[in-house]
Amino acid sequence: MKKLIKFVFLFLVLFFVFKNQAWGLMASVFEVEDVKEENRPVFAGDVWRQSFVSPQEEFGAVGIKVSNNNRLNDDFWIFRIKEEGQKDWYFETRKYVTDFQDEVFYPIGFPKFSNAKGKKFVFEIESEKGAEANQASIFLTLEDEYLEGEASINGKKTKGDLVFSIYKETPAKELIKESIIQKLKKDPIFFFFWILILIPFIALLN
Amino acid sequence: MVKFKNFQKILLAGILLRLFLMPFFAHGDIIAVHRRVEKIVCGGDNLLNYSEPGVHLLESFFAKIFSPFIPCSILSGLQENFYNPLYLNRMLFFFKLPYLFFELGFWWLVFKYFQDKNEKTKIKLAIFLAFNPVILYSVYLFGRFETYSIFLSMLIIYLFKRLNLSVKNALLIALIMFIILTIRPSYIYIVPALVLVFLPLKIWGIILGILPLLAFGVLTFLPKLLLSSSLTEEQINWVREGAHPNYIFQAGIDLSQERIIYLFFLILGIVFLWWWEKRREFKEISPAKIFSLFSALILLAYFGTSIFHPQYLSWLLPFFIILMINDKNNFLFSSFWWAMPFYFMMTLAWGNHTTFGLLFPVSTAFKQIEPGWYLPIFPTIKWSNMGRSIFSAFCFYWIYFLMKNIFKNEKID
Repeated sequence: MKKLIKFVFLFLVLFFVFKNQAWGLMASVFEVEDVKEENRPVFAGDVWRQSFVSPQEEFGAVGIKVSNNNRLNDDFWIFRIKEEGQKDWYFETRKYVTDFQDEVFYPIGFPKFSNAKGKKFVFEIESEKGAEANQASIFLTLEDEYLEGEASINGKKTKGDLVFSIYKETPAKELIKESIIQKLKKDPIFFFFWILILIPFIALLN
Repeated sequence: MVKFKNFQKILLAGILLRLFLMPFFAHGDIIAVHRRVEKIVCGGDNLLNYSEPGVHLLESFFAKIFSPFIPCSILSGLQENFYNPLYLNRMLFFFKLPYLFFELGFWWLVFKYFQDKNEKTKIKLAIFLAFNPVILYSVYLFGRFETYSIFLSMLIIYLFKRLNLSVKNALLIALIMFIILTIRPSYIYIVPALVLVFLPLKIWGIILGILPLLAFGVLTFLPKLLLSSSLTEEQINWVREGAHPNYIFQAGIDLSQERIIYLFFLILGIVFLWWWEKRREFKEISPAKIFSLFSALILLAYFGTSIFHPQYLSWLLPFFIILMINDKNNFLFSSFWWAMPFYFMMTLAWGNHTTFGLLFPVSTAFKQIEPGWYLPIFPTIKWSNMGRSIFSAFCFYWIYFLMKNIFKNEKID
């Protein structure tokens, strides 16, 4: 029993140490997904560009759906973002594609944009040394379903849009709380019975 | 008022923890399985159209039982929305409830097996069972059906203890092993352990030892014979070329010109030679312990040399428990807990799918969060590989430890 108490104590200590860590979860604001899409390899020198209109006052990350094509690729992607019409890029970073997983959104954070609602932004992805059998991919929708922006490759407009999301930072606690409340409202009968099941176990332990 | 002993209170706390976790965590695999279950139960699909028919049969049976709580109108939501259907939390709770029942059956068998042990040992067992991070992660966070096969493998161990080794009893045990194969075909790896236990039955022992394999082979060809389904070809191609069956060929020493020494088979070879050297001494050891030992050695070789999926580690637990309680210096019990951080580091290789993504039943926002955001200096895969390397060291050292000490420990059976 003493070991169990030690274990629970250790768990609680770890919980409180980490609970205020950088758990700034990014709640997705909108996504271009759930549409038919295709895997498009990004080769060295390719510059993919996507424009979009922010539906939110502020956002601090863009998630791009990527694929590592089920291998470790030795390449870097340069990511840039700015408000459309601005001469200089607002933010630029270099990402090692080895970190990419297969068919998941890879988020890239930056100092957040404020007063962004309704404004048009543009981001770019450029591969440094993507080559045959050593390249990661982006995903492109097959149809132009996102009407507030467009995609281009090497300056030429292309059909479809990059599959991406933009995020605003939401504290983890707030996000979980909001989500749980929503769930409770959607299925109150189940949660009522679920709590009823838990109560006897709690009572038996005391 | 019922007065519970300390070890029973620990088990109750374990059940409470499981009930609490069940509605809020899942991996996409549990949804994928239940999409097929919905087609079987609500759409009338034939069970034999799917691979692993044992698990689809069990899941469909439980879906029928729980249909007053999750009728087809709710279950069909899974076909329309994978990650965020209506009533997802309710569905997850009822999907996982049979897993809990089978785990409770597993606990019951473990305590029946060790019923003559003192209170201190029972507390140790209760802690290991109730708060086992591998089970909690695999079954209640990941949402996989591993407790079906865990229960059945513990049932085999228990029957080895309770029944004499006769042809009739061996047939019963072979049948249970066949059922396990229909749930998790990868248990094929431990069939040689069964053959070793059955060896005293001479030719019947060998026939009954490989009987589960033969029966499983027949079952694989049934869809072709009965339904003219192409599933049989698909399954054969999957074994030949699919990722999972080929895990055992991935770690090796390259001798050049495509000649490779596969580490998994290298270790199996050493284990076999060791058995051959000591085969007379094994007459002193009970069938339950021999089965547990060789199953554990084979599975540890598998985990130490392959990119096994994290939930597979739970297969080891019934065998590990038998050997752990038999270990006088407590090394297996204590080192198991030390292995856990490295086991969880290893899961980082699957990124969001095995970490933050498991919280998608709370909010789909968690599907977007990568563990790599929070890892310093090295890419995620390097962190994972560091954990995997150390975890492999644990597996290899446990193999060495078991082979070194199996004859030294007291006889418990």
